Amino acid sequence: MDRAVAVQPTPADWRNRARERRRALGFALFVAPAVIYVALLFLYPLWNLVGLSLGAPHIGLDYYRRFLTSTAYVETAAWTIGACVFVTTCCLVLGYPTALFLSNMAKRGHSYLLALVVFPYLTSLLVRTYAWMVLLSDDGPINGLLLATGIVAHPAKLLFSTTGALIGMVHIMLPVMILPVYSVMYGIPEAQMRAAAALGGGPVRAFLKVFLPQSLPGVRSGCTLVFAISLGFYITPAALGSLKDTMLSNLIASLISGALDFNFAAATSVVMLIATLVFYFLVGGGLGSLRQESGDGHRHRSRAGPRRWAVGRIENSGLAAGLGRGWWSRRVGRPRALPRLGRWGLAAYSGLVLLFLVTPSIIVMVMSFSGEDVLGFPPRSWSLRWYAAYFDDPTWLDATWISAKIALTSTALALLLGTPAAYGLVRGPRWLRNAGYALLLAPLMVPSVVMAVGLFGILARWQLLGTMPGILLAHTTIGISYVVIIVGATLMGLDRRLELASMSLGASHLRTATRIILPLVMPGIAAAGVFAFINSFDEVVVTSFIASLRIETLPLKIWEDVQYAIDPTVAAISAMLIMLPVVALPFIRRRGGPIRF
Amino acid sequence: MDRRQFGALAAGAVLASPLRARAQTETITVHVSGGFYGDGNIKAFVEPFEKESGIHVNSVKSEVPPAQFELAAKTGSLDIDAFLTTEANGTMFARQGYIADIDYSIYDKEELAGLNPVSRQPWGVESIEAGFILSINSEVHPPGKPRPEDWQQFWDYEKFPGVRTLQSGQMGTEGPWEEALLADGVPIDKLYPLDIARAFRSLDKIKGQIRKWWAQGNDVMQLFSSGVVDMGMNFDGRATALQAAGKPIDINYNEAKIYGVYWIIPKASKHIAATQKFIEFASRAKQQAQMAEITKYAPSNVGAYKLIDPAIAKKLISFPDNTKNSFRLNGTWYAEAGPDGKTNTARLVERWNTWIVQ
Repeated sequence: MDRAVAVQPTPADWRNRARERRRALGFALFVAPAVIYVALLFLYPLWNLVGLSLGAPHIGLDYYRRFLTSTAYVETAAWTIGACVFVTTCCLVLGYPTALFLSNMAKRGHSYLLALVVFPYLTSLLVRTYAWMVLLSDDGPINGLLLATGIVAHPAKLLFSTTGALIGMVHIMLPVMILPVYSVMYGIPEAQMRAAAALGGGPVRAFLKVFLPQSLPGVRSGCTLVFAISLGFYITPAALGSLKDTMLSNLIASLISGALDFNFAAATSVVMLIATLVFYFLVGGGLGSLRQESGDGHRHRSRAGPRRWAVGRIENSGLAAGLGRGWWSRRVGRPRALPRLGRWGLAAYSGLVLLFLVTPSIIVMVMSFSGEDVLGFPPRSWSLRWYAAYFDDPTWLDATWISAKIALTSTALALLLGTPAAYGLVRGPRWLRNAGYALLLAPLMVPSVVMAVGLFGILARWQLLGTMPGILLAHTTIGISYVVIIVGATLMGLDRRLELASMSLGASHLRTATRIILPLVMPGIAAAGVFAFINSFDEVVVTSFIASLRIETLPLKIWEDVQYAIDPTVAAISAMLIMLPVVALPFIRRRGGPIRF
Repeated sequence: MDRRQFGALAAGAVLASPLRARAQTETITVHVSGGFYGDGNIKAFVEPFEKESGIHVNSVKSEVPPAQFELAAKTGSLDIDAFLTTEANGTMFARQGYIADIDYSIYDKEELAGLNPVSRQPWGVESIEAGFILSINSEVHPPGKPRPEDWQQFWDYEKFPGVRTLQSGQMGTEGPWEEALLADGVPIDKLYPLDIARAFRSLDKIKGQIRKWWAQGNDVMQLFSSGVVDMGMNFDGRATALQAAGKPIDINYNEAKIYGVYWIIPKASKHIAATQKFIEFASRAKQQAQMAEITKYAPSNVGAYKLIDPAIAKKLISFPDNTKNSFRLNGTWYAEAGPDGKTNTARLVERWNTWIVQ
């Protein structure tokens, strides 16, 4: 208040300030439920992990000492980090040119090609791993091609090898790299490139001096995300890799399910968390990777003034922006002057990358119509028997029903908490937006195994381990992140003047929110619901930790069957899961509103 | 809001669970495990038991890791009444005081006589006997041609080439330990106590030749059925299932490792009496014969052999012709703890995790 005294505020200033504070409080109330939820089911479990790893109640570094003196753990940690750096590098090499290509495409084709990135992102991790098991096997399509072309005389050992594990991991992480990089590139004004050309910079020079530096925030954000999520790899390397491709996550899982050494598992998880944070600070520049602020505001300068600040900042928030731009922006795609040199090369390269992204899904869909008893490609006969096998087996249908119940309820909860939060964050004061986004998006950036171990501890204490409410609570956390991202992006595309008009005509905040804003962002809410639903419906890592005894969700049953069964029923189910986002999202898109692709 | 309210709120949000809608007859929850073994447990034991007793059985088909059992027993959050587990884990849990004693007074005398002493422990009743055997793809390695006949020859990859598989040692209680020692020349009757260091030295020699270290029964089934591997360690039941599916798989019972799977009842169970009845029912010769015919796993009740189709009987691991040179896995050794409190199982897991990254 010193400052206030110094400038001698008028009574009007005081009233304004009081009103500002009331406004801020109002927005904070919108955000509060989601923040409390995420604090309780995300921050608290992590905090609890730190406590356990220090051997609470008697504090000490014993478990860390044990970690550092164990050859097995140190070497596995080194291998894990090495593998994650490798996967990140591969994703960058494959993803950067593809993002460049996508951000330069003309409107129409652009939307469809972007869908080739978004659909795999939404396809279950398990299904994609399964697809690679099929593709890489000795009698699979890749070996078939290698043998037919005479490159190899005997089937190459692709499945159960480090190569196989790395291919699978790169494939799964690639969309996570492409989306943020693309979103930042999309915001780089083409006028700058033209200006560079006009001022005599050659295409290469213009790219290196003007375009590349501006795209770096996207690269940083993509790299940190890929690295952090890769650290949590657990099922993919176990299914595709060799004996030594054990990741830290696998050791954590065996500590919890085999040795029941919870404190040590907690210490190992904290090591992973620290690795993630170190990577954030090395590559991502701290919290910048959560929401980078680049020179993107420019693009919106011509648009309605009051929301420029919001758009410039939040639409750029890494993965959030990738998903947000790709799907919810009205103005996707415009041709841009790209150096003619290399345009075709870029198109060919990106085409191959996109082919790499979608091939596994296509192979699985084809195999699902096999008439054979065992998997083989191409199938020698065709039938719908594996679809019939799914619909005739009550255990499959039960598992599907359980997953649908959990997914529907957790989606409803996530929408209920996340939608008001998104509104509060987009319209509220800056401090609220910064802190709120950092917290509410953080669950997406922590290795899933770490989250699983944290939740395992908390849910065990609350006696919710192996129960529907337990799984539900866990799934809702990530659901909230998706809702905040997508509803937030939709809100930012909304004309603020509509709200101002409503309020100037005497409607209260709440009334404006429910009568004006809610109907306008409905398409965004529906889309967020689809993301949250698919995320819960497909979730396997966290669920496998906390559901094990009594509840068999669809992904858990698929996982069991991938290890157990020898028939292609899983291929039929996978094909249906692949189709889920393909069917759901365009359906919503057609209901109008600002959703385009 | 405290955590109980929070839980209640969340619970209220879940749609009504199908369990809640069930009628008021007594219900016990039984862990039956997954795959065709789980189906066998349901068809041979669960369904006939429900019919005879009127007690409803809720079958849990997922795997229950021993640690889950331990945690559930510790926190009292256990709501499964019968578990299937190995001799090693059963011995360990009994020592920790988690298991209710089996009430042998409700058993028929004749049925009880069919159970060998090792099959009727104070803490558990054996359900089936299974074994680890050497199985070989007979298309790739037909009987006339040279192919490994024991673990020593299996280790000799230069003389007997082929794509090999062994069980992963990640669980500790099961792993290629005995096989490795046999390959290294340890006599079959002098295996226990296992020389852990020697076992790993022996594994070093074969490490590079193993295409996949399988973790679960259907893993290995998939490996053989898809033709990825053509020789290696396998469960006898999985190998006979592959034969039944028309796959060219030969089983070698020489140096087979036989082990038992036991029913145990956690002390925390609220339906101990009904569960005792279920386990007694499942040990009867008639049910045991049915189980053997469905799964091709050997019965624990030898009385069942009178009822089993002879064509099937000769494929069971405890059939006299098959046990000429086999041994029984010593679960007690696995559960033994050293002066530092670590069990032999824990020691094996620790060595395994270090060994795989070397």
